[in-house]
Amino acid sequence: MIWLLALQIAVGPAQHYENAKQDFAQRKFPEAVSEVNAALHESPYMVPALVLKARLAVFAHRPDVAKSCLIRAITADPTSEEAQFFLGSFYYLQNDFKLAISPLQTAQTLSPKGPLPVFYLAMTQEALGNAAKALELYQQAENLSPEKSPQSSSILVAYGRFLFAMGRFKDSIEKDRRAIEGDAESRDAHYELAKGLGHEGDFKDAALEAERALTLPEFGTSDAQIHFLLASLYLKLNQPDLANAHLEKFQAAPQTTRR
Amino acid sequence: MPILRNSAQDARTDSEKSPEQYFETWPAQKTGITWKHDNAISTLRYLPESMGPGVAIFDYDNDGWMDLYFPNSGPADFFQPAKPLRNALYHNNRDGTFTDVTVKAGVAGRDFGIGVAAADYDGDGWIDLLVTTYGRMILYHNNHDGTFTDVTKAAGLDEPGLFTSAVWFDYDNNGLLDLFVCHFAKYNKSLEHDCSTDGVRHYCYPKTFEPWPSRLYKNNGNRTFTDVSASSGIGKYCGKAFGVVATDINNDGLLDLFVANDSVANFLYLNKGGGKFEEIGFQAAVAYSADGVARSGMGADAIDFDGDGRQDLFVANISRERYSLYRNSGDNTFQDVAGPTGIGMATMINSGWGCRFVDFDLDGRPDLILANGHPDDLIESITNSLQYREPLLLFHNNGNGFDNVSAAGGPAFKESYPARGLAVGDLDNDGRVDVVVGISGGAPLVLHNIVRNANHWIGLNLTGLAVGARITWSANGVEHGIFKRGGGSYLSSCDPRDVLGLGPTEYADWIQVQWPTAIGRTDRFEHVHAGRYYSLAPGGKLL
Repeated sequence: MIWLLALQIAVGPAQHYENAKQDFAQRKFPEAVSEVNAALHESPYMVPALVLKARLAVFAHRPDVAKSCLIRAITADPTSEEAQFFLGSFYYLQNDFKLAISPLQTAQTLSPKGPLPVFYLAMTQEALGNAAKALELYQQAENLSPEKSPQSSSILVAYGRFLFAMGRFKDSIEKDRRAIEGDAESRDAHYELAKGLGHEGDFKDAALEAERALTLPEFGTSDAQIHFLLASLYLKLNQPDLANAHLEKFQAAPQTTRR
Repeated sequence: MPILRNSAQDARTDSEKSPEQYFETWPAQKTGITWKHDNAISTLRYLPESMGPGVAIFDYDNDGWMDLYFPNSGPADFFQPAKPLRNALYHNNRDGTFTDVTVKAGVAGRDFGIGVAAADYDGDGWIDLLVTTYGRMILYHNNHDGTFTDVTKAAGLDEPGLFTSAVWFDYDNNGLLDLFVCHFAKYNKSLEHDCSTDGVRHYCYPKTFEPWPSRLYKNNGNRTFTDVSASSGIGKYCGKAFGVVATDINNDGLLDLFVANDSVANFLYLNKGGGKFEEIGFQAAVAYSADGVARSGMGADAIDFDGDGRQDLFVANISRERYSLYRNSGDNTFQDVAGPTGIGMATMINSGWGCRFVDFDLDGRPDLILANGHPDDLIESITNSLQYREPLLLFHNNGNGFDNVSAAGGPAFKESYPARGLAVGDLDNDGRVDVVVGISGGAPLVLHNIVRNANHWIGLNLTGLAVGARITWSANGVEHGIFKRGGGSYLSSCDPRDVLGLGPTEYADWIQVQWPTAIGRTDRFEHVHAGRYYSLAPGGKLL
């Protein structure tokens, strides 16, 4: 018994947290929850553990738990960039855009070279309809993420989507192309590029991009969205059979709304 | 001569400027409009409570001055008013005041009133009223003596439903006004759901209700109507129709219908002739967003906003969906240009209902006014990013797009409202178009246009069948046009007259009226002086 107790003390909250992090990375969520709870049991204000627990709570559809963990983390350490960023992104994902701004701005101040707080600020300002601010922030996020990577690709896709919504189609296409350079397997990037090309009248290349998107793993852009786009494109290409086939698949899928 | 030229140049410059202030608010103390809408709001949050009211601006007594009509809630299966509620008809006293003549006129309504569509359906020269309801719609025939008679049953329109916007238009080009009535979802009290959040009832998202077909009624020419929903093809499409506008998208002389649906795809009914319509919303790219999402469309309008001779379409959607401005490509397809024209981002967090393109500053280009407000009065308990009460929005058409000039709209644009219906019309016959907004659960908002610039105008009152007419005019060598659409906005009916903006010129070089196909003639007038209203009948003179 003394040996076991000694072992537990030796593991300590830091080790529990490290274990939780590894479990989370391997998507072993129950194990991660157990480890992070053990860490917080021994060290209730351990900020990284609180943030990790919040992230796990988001996966478990427990926004109340996530929010309380993040607020506790920020109370314990207002200078934690990680806690501020995740609280801001949490509010963003909850559509509480006005609440998202302050923690994201704090995270940006604490980590001025990090692209993610700026990126989320850009999306937040876009959601609030502040086009000029969003444009400036997207550009900042792009500048802060010059390397070719899935992360920079995600930023470019969102930037391109925003430009598309603004009617700047050529600029949008340029961002989408660069997003594909950063992550050739990005379904979102191929789909957005297809939308942009379609809008510019290049229906043939647009259809190729959309068909390519359909072969890539589904994370953001749904099959239904791509079928809808393909149906429109094949209609323009005067290929009614293909258009109808995709339209049927689009209509068979559950309809989504933003509301 | 140089002085004259300079004067003209100065005037042109002035005419191009965006006005410093567009509207002043006429309060109830000034207008005498004491009527208030009762939205019948209950703790159980029944869907129809969130819909109204509409507004009509029309001249019921043919005195040349626009009167006002407001529908109100009333008895329904979910609502028994503690005290009687009634619709209201206000007579224009020609001095900025109005007198309530509802009782004398006999238009107090029944059932749960929602919207209104005014038109002279029997061609007797007097404007009649259709009131849409949750219950049975009402057709009031104008008796020519300041009173109306409820002729719903005799007309064959005595049908139950949840009716919203309606439009009078001649779909079969026989010279008679037919009627399209938007029907929202299949609905009665027993079909309501418990849409609670944290134990508090909210209005249910419309997706929880079953879509339902709208109605098309053919005018038989003897003050009766025949339901032709099935034979026309319209009846086979189930939607959740809120807004409708009749226009001619392909300039073939047949009026088409654009219907804004909530949470299901919008419908574009292309008039094929022979009494048949084909729904082409998807092919025309007006059914869904660019990402294939059915948006929550509420208000709808149609206009040639860019002066290319083709009718464009507009939909006011719910928050986070952006409103849609569909530019007509000329091949029965459209492109959503809300983004490039500046309207998309400006409407990101708004929920739109009443919407109308009209030239507020008389520069010859149609501007845009929007009435907004989230449908859920408890939305702020769910998110801090949206509001139940929202400001009105005003966009000035600059020839290349739209500038958000809401800040110059006047005091009303600094407030927020649960606004719904919106109608435009010239309440004081000064050639500057005013606005009346229906407020859910409140007094209507009357906005008096006070734009003062160097621009001139000509008012045109086309008598008889006018929906489907095309008015073109030239001012200082620049050609402009208005296609007289039917309906538009949300639950509302606008001043049937048109105001032609001339810019700084004191006369129109010429005015041409191409009457609807059923009339089949074109009248043209040269050198028409500005500053007054003219009446025109087919083949007649400007009077």
